[in-house]
Amino acid sequence: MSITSDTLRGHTDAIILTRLLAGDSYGYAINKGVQECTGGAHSFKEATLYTAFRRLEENGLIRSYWGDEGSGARRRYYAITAEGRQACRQHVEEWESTKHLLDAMLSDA
Amino acid sequence: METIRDNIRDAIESLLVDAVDSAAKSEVIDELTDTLCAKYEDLLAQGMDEDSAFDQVLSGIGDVDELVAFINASAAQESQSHFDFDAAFQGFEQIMGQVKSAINQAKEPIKDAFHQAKGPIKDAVHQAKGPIKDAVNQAKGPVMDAVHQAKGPIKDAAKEFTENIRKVGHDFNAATRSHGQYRYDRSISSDGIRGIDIHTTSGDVTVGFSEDDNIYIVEWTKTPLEEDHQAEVTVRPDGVLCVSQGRSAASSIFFGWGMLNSDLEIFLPRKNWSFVRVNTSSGDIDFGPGISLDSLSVRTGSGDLSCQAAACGALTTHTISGDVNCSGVTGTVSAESTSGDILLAGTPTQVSAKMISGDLNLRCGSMPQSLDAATVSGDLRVAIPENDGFSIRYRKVSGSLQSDFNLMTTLNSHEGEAVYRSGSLRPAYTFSTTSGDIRITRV
Repeated sequence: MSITSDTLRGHTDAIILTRLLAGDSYGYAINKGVQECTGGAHSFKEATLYTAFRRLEENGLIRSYWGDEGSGARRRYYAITAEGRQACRQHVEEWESTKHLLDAMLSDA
Repeated sequence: METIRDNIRDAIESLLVDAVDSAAKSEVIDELTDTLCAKYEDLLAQGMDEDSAFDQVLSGIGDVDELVAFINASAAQESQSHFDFDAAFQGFEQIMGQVKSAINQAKEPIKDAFHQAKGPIKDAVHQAKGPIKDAVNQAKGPVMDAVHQAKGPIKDAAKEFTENIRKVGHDFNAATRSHGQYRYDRSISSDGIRGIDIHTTSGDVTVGFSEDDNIYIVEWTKTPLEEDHQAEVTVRPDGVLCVSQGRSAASSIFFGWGMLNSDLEIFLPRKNWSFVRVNTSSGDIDFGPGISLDSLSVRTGSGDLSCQAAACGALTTHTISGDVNCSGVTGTVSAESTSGDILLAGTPTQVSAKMISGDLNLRCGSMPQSLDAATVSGDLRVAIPENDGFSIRYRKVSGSLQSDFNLMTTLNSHEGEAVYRSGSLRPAYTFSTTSGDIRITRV
């Protein structure tokens, strides 16, 4: 695996939380949002995405509910919790400082 | 369209064949079906043909192992919490009672207010509007207070409720939160296990005692760990328990770069362990007092080692800047360090200590058969009991040689031999330092 995909994988939870900051959404829309904001460079494998949803929900960072789509299909929506917002903020802060460290260590003297 | 939905659903079901049938599983299947159908339709809209779209949708799912593990874990929790549902609700009822009485208390003022308002309504409908408004306004206060009062207990009750659910279920891989940290618990029977091998990159290792025959491994982190990054615990066929930080290749990058960090606590049953080996880059290693080991081998970069053993047969340490503080040594000691200090106590039989700038401080309850200590700029301090005699071979440049024992030596010599009593027939020890002092004292 490349460094890029490994690094992205480590931020899966925070990326999902960030997508949910704008409002409730469902799996496909979230992933599509990720794909669009990266200009098509990245999207999650479904298995990764749904495992992350379960984990985030268990840790109380998001909650979910079933929406009625009318056409007989069940669609599960996700909403970020107050704890999730806090975790997201914290993650972004930690990432900022990590980024600075890496930039400092990987840039030419 | 119905048939393609069915086909997608069938494909998902066969991918998740290893997951036990449960509410969690059917929810995942529903959700994935919805997502993949939407994706399929999007691809068709983009002009892709049906077969390619179907293939692409399915190949995009990725590795489902973790998802299956998650379903199975929540299925186990589901059945467990059904089994002892009453226990989970304990405390919840009591708090709901408190909430009810808070609401009842709030009800009375509302009732009274409406009662007061009733009269004016009868008298003059138009005039009544004002008092009704006032009454509602008056009532609003107590209702808001009651709701406000109830919020805390409801929150607490919900918290306790989830905590109880967690207690009755036993999902070892799920994190529990404690003292603001996430903890991951693992336990394993110590039957047939004789040695422990511990590998970590970033974080401390603490070894303590368990109260029963099980080995408990607790991993603490500040941020939740994906299953991939949780410590791997395996038992090798030769009876060695291996605990290593992070399961995947990616873990070593995350831990190595300091993006992840976890401390390990390992609780061992009280028995004599054949060996414990610890290999870490930066963490401190701490053994609870009283451990008994045939051999202990530690390799660390900047971490300190502390071990107050009841008995430690063979001790091998390699540190760079970390200090070693180990008592209870009873056998062969081999300690190497760059800038760390080495502090040893016990009844070692053979000691070899090599340092660059570190000091050696060795306290022996009995005379070691051999002792070989070398440092460049550190001091060498050795305490030994009164004895029948020994000899030393020393080499020093600017430091001094001092001893409580009446050593027969050439004064101010940089290099030479010194003898105590009939030392020539007794153990010969060697000391070497460039700028440090050599000091041999009586215990």
